Amino acid sequence: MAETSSLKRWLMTTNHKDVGILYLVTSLYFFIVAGSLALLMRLQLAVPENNFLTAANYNAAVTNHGLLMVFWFLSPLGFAFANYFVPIQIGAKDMAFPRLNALSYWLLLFGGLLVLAGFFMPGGTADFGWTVYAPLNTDEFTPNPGANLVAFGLLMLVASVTVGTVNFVTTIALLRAKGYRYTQLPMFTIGILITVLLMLWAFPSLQAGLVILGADRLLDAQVFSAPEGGAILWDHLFWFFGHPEVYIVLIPALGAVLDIIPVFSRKPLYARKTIIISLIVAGILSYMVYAHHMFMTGVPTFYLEIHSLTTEAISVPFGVITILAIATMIGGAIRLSTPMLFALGSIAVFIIGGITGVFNSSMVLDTANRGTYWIVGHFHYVMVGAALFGLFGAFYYWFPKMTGRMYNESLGRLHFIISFIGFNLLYFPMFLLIDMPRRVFTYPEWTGWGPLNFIASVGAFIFGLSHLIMFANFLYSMKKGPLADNNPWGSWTYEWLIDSPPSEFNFDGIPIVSGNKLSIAMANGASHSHHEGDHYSIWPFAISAGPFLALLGLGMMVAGVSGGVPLLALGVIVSLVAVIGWAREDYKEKFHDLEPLEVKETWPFQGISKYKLGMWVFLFGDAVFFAGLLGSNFFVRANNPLLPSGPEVKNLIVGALSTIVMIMAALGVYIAAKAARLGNSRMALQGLGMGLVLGISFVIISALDWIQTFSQGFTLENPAIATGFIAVFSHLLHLGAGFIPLIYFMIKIAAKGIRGAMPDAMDALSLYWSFLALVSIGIYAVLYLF
Amino acid sequence: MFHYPFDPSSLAETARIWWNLYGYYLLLAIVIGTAVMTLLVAIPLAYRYKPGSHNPNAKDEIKPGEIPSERGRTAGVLLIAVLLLGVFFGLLTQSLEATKEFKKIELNGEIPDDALVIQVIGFQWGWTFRYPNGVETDVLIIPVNRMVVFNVTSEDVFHAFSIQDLRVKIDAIPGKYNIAWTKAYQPGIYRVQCYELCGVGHAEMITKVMVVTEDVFDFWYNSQGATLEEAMEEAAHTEG
Ligand code: HEM
Ligand SMILES: [Cu+2]
Ligand SMILES: [Cu+2]
Repeated sequence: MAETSSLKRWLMTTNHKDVGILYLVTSLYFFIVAGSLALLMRLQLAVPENNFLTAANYNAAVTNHGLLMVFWFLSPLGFAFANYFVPIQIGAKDMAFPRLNALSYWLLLFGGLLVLAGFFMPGGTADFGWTVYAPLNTDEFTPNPGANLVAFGLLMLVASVTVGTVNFVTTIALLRAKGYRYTQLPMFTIGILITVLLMLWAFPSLQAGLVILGADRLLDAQVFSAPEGGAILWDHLFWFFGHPEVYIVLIPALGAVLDIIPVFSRKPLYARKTIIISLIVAGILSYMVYAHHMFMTGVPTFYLEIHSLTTEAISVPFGVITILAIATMIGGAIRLSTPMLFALGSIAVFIIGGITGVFNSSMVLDTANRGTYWIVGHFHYVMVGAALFGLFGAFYYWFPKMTGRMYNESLGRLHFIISFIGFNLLYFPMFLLIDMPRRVFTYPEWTGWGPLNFIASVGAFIFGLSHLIMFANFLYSMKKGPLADNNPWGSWTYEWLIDSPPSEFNFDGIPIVSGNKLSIAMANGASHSHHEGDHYSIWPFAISAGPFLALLGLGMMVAGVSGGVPLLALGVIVSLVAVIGWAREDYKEKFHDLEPLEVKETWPFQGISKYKLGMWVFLFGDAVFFAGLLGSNFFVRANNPLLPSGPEVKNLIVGALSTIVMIMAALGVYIAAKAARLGNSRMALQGLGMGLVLGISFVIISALDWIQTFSQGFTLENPAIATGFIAVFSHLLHLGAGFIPLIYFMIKIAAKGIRGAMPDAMDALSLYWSFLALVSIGIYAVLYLF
Repeated sequence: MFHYPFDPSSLAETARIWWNLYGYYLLLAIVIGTAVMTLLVAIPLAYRYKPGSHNPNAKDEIKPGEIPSERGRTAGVLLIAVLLLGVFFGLLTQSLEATKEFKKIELNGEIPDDALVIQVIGFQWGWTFRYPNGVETDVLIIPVNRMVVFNVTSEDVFHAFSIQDLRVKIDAIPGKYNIAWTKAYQPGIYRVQCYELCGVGHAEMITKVMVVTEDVFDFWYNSQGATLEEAMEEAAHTEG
C-alpha cells in the first residue's frame, strides 16, 4: 500500500477503507462548515430585533445549514463507517464494485463543493429552505444564480447515493462469508442494508423533483409555478423522499447503537429478531406517512387522516426498539465507557424526539406545531440527538480499530457530558417556543421569545465548541495514543478479529461462518493474486470532476460570470476523457484478478452475477424516477383540465412506431447477451449492431416527433408539455448512456472475442435496455394515449 | 399590546379543542417518557460492572467471534408491543375525535349560514383580508362568539396563515383556496403571522387580529371601511 500521505493514494484509491476515511474527513469538514452557519444563526437569534445578519443572509444560512448537515454530514458520516466496516463485518475483502465505491465518494464531494460554490455567485445562493418549497424555488421568486448550483450539487448527490446504494446492496447480498445468514449479521450492517433500500426508493423522487426544477429555472418551464397544483406537486415529490430521508439519517446510527449497547453490557441484544422486524416495518411504513408534513396544505382530509394514522403507528416499532435496547442491559455488567455513554445518550434524546413526533402526528395538534420551533426541536432531537450522538459513539467505538491506537477516555467522557448538556440547553427551549415561527431571521421584543432564545444560543456554543474536545482527542491520539489491542472492547464481530488497523484486504485467510462461530480459515496458497498498485484508478475522480466543472461553468454562464463557457467546455472534455479512460481499464482487464476467488454466501441470489444483481437494484430505483416524472405529468393534468391530452398533442402512429423500434432495439441487445453466453461472437456483434442502429433510429424519431410538437406552438410553459418533455428527455439520456457499454462491447468482442465475465456484464446491459423499452411503453401510455 | 391570557384554552373554540387534546398527549408523554427515562438511567447504574460479580464465562456472555444467542421471551416482547399499541390507539381515537370537530368544514363540505367568511390573501410580504361587504383591510377584525371562516390563498408563493394563540393555521397556496375557522371567546388582540418561509420578508409578515364585541364589530362592518377606532367612537357615541 502506498504511503498514507501520498496524494496518489487518496486521489486514486478504490479500497473500501480508504474510501471510508475520505467519507469521514469530508463529512467532518461539512460538519464544521454547516455548524459555523448554525452558530451564526444562533448569534443572530440570541436577542430580539438583532441586526447581526440580514434577512437574506439568514435565509441563505438556514437553507445551506440544513442541506449540508443532512446530506453532506450526517448521512456521509454513517456511510464513512459503512464503507469501512460493512465489508469487514460481512467477511469480504472489499465492496462488490470498488471503483464505483470511489465514484460515490467523489460525486458526493464535488456535489458538496458545488453547493458551497453557490455562496460565491453574485446575486446570492439558495435561500428557500432545505425543503425548497415551490414556487419560491423557481427563478421568478428566487433568481439567485447560486441556487442553480445548489440544485446541481443535489443532483450529483443523488447520483452518488444511487451508485452507493447499488454497491451496498450487491455487496451485502453476494459477498457475505460462507454460512453467514442475514439475521446473524451485526445490527450496523443490517441497519445499512435497510438504509440503502430506503435510499433506493426515496432519492429518485427528489431526483424527479430536481430535474423538473432545473427545467423551470433554466428552460423557462412553468411546472412548479403553475397555480394549478404546482406547489402541491413539489410537496408530494419532496416529502415522498423527505420522510424516508429522515430515517435514512437515523438508522445507521441506530444500528451502531444497537451493536454498542450489548458489547458494553456483555449481554446479547434483547429480542434481536423483533428489533430487525421492527426496523423493516418502520422502513416500509415510512413511505406511507409522508403527508404528515402536509397537514396544513388543504389536500383531501381523508388522505391526511390516513397518514396521521400511519404516523401514529410508526411510533410502535420505534418504541419497541427503544424499550428492547434498554431491556438488553438488564442483568448485564455495564461499563460506561465513552461509546456506551454516547449510545445511551442517543437513546435518551431519541425518546424525547420520538414522543414529540407523536404529538406532530395528530392533525389537530400539528396545527400549532407546524412551522414552529417545536418542529425544529423535534427533528434536532432525532437528527442531531439520536443520529449524531449515535454516530459519534460509533466513532469512539471504532477509533482504536481504524487507527490502532486508543483515544483518551477521560476526554471522551468530558466531551459526552459537555455536549449532552449543551445539546439540551440548545434544543429543549425550542419546545417551549412552540409559538415562534421557524426560519425567521428575527422577532419583535414584545413576543417574549427573547430569554428562551438566549438560552438556546448559549447552549449552541457549548454544544458546538464541545466537539473541539473530540477533534483534539482524536488528532492527538491518532499519532501519540497508547497502542490498542485488536479487540479492546471484547466485541464479537469480524472487524475485531483482525489487525488494528486492518491490512489492505482485511483478512489473511477466508472468513467462514459455521453455526454461530465466525472464523478465518487459513487459505492454502495466496488468497489474492494482486500485485501492488493494482487497484488504483484516477477515473472515479475524473468522472466526477468533469460534471463538476461543467455544472459549475453552466452555473457561472447563467449567472453571467465570465469564464463560465470555457469551464463548461473543459468539464465536458474531462467527462468524455474520463469515460473513455474508465472503459479502457475494463478493456485491459485491469481489475480482473481482484475478483474474489473464494466461495461466498449468496442466498437467495445463488448463480446471479454481481452485474446483474447490481443492475436489478439500480433499475428498481430508476423505475421510481420515471414513475415520479410520469406521475407529475399525470398530476398537473389532473389539476388543470384545460391542459391538452395526449392525442391532442401527439401523433399516435409516430409514437407507436418509435415504441416498437425501441422494443426491437432492446431485443437486439437481448439476442447479443444470449449469444455471448453461448460464446457466439458473430451473433453477439449482430445483436449489438441491431441495438445500436435501432436505438439511434429511436432517438431520431423521438427528436422529430418533439420538433413537430413544438412547431405546433406548444412550449415548455405548458406544464403538461414540460413534464412530458422532461420524461422523454430523461429517457433519451438513459439511452445515450446505454450506447456507451454497447459500443464498448462491440469493440471488445471484435478485437478479443468473448471472455471472462463478459456474458454476465452483457446480461446486465440487456436488462438495462429492456427496462428502457418498458419505460418507452409507459411514456407512450401516459403521454400519447392518455 | 399583545397580552397572553392565563387560560389559553378559553380564547377560542379552536384553542379549546387543541389544549384539550394536548392535555391527553402531554399526560401520556410525561408518564411514558418518565418511565422509560428512569429505566434508561436506573438499569446501567444497577448493573454496573463490578470485578467480582461478573462471570466472563457465562452462557450468554459476548465472546469474540461468536454470534450472540437469540434472547428474550416472546411474551415479554408482545406485552411491550400491545402496551404501546394500546397507548397509541387511545391517543388515536382522541385525535380523530378532535379532528372531526377541528376540520368539520372540510369534512362536512359546508359552511354554516351564520358564519362570517373572510377571504385571506397572502402576498410577499403581508396579508389582505377581504370581507363579504367588499371592504379590504391589512388588520384582521373579527367578532367574538361567532364562527369566522377564513378562505385562504396566496398571490405569489407558499405562505402559511396563522393566528397561533387561537390555534388557527392553514397554508396559503397560490391557485388554491384553503379553509380554516375559529370562534373567538374573548375580546383581545392577537398576533397573525406567516409560518412558511416565503422570502426575505418572511419574518416581517406579521399583523394583528382584533377580536371585538359583536356590537363594535357590527358598527365597524356597517361603516364600510372606517378604522376600528372610528367605529368604536361611533359606537360609544350612539350608545351614550
Ligand atoms: C416516532 C417517530 C416520529 C414521528 C411520529 C414523527 C413525526 C413527525 C411529524 C408528524 C412531522 C411533521 C411536523 C410538521 O412539519 O408539522 C415531523 C417532522 C420532522 N421529523 Fe419527525 N417523527 C418521528 C421521528 C423522526 C426521526 C427519527 C427523524 C430523523 C432522524 C425525524 C425528522 C423529522 C424532520 C427533519 C422533520 C421536519 C421536516 C421539516 O419540515 O423541515 N422525525 N416528524
Ligand atoms: Cu416525516
Ligand atoms: Cu412567510
